[in-house]
Amino acid sequence: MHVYLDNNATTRPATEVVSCMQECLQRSWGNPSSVHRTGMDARRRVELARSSVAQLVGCETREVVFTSGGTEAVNLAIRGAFRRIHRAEPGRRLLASLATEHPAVSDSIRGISALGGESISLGMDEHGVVDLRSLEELLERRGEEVALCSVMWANNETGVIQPVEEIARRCHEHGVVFHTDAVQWVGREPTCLEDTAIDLLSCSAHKFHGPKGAGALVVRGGPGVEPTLLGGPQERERRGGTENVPAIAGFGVACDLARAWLAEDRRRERLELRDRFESRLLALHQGASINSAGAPRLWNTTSIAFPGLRAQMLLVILSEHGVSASGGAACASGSVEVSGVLRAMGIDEERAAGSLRLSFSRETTESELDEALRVIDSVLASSRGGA
Amino acid sequence: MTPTLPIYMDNASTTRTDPRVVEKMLPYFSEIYGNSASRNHSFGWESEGAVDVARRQAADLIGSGPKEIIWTSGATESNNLAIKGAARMYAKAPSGNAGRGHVITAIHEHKAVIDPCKRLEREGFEVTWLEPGPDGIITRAMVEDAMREDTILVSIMWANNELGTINEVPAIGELCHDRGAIMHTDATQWVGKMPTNVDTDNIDLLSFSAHKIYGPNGVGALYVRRRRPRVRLEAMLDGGGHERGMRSGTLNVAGVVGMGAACELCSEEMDAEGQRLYALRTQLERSLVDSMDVVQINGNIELRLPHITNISFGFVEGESLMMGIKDIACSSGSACTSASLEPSYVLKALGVGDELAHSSLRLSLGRWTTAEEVDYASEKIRAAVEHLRAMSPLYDLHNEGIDISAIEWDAH
Repeated sequence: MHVYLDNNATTRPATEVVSCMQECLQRSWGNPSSVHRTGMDARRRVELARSSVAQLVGCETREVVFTSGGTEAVNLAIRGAFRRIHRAEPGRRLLASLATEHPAVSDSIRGISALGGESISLGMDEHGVVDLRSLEELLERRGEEVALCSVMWANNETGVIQPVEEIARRCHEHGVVFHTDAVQWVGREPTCLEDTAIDLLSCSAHKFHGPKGAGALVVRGGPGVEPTLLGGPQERERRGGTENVPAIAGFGVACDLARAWLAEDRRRERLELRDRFESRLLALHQGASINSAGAPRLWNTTSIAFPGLRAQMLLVILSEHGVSASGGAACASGSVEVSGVLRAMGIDEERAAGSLRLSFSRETTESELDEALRVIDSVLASSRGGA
Repeated sequence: MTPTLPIYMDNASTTRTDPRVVEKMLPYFSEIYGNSASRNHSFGWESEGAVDVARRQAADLIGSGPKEIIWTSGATESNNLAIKGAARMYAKAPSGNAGRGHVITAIHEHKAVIDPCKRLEREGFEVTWLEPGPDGIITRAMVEDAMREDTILVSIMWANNELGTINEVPAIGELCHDRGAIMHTDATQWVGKMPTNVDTDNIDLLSFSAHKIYGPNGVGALYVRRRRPRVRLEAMLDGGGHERGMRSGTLNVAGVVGMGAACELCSEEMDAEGQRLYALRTQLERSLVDSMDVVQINGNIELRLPHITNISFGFVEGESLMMGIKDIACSSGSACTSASLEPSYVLKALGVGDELAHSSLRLSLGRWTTAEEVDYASEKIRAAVEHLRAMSPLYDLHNEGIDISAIEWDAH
């Protein structure tokens, strides 16, 4: 039995998604910009998917801009919005975000310094939740200098949920544009942008059983975004380039499936499953603790610290025994031994180095978790014995 | 025998994904779904391994090393990354200043090159827009005349997407290397159809795309030279440091696998395929040109890709012509501009008049085009043109020997 518990890195595309994509590859392979039948068929696929995305996140269809994934959506949001805002109001140059943001956000913000922007970190409590007072203080004091505030909806390593609707509301009161990296949130939790003051939202298909290679930026309020990919009128001139039709269509199906799942409201059940898993996990090792246990967290993410152990070593052994998990974000730096997110939350080096991220999907079963516990237990026992 | 309709003759816009490619991609949707950047488990390793194989297949097609291939979401992204990334990296003055450097390109490039170059102009770079002659070719001499001390980048497409005409890219690349400028080529229409070797062809940056070579939409690559010179780029997508830091973001593994497979098939089949398509195109052009008057093939007749033809038919109205050949999927301009009624800027660059540009067809043949389809298409087009001309008083005047262009029309 192979237990895949790395669903925050990527998820298994649903069967319906795969068959839709296969159909697109075999039949709807046209260029959506072509005016002939072959092109129109591809266009139809793209527009149906756009409506599925809009329904999942509760926005208007025309607000959805398809991208190649979450990273592109985030880059387009941050650079694209900053360029527009800063040009219209040169006094607005600050970009406010958390120290625990995904590299797609933090690196985009770093890139902004070349355009005259400056990064500023919002305060957090010990669980990594934004400190609303520090936000309020910043907005009160320097609100007119802030170009953009970007706060992730749910953290990729800890699953911590930020009060983004409240943050967005406060930003709006001060005329500040708000973006949320909702890559880990959308498809797992209900979202209705219409009821919020969120201006920009990034999401990605492959985090909720859609394919890799498709994501979306939802552009609602604010001055819009300056396009990054130039060279065609696609996506209402917000993103040039021939659309990835099969992946976009697969994204649409993944949205429909997620909406149906959310309508069943199984999240309570999932939370209970996670909590049972966590309490059994904690019992396996002296001094183990759940990171951010005191904060609201996604039903699918467990970040657990096993002090005194090396996560990188545990992960390799776990994989050999059929359990796939991770230490932190899947990215190309490879050499990252200790999670920057956990360190930024003030977790000490020893705990951070011994932290595993176990992330479920809506398909993960109780018996898979039992198996994972069995394997983790034996690996922990042998590493204690061998050390 | 009537072939299955509609007939697809728009392969320069996109190609059908080869079923052999689809076959290779499918396992990466359903079973091998790992994130290729996951370093801690076999799901990730398997995906990473597949990406490495594809990288080798793409590199082999263009004669580069695998480490020189950067995966992107398509040729538009490759072109943006190459042009903006190189110009910003080698800029001679910081952002916001004038005199940041000189860039050379041409007015009939694809929009995915033109628009980034326009952006560079706004950022303080100077761009020379070369104009081709009536044959559409950009020569080494044209580039040489435009070269300056501060030229940092030359971007000239290898083959034009509307005409199929082939620019003097290896010679222009040689010139760039002599003068210390970076040579970029948008080779979207070229790669996979014609033999390519980035070393002997003197290329530093080369953009190509899967969906023009029977691979899937949504994946492309940028070749970035690593030695003599080692080319550096300012990244456009930040966040995670994937693709040697030049392009972050989770890789579209299935797409990348598909592009690799498509590249491999092209490596094996392009020679025979090129000869087959050349014969079919000759058959198509011959049957149209020989049977009608006032028909012209646009662009250099010799220096062209074997599968594309761009033909103008005088005395017919473009929209009506398209309506008359509804069974044939083709373009009247580039796919990106075909939704608007502007005459093709590429044809304009060659000096083709607006009227004639509107009544032009780009027919691009592909892997599944048959001789029967070519016969059917040429018959259909001829019938449509003749039908429209039969209703055209202008065509009557022309046949009576009157020079239409000399008539002074009354204003109403």
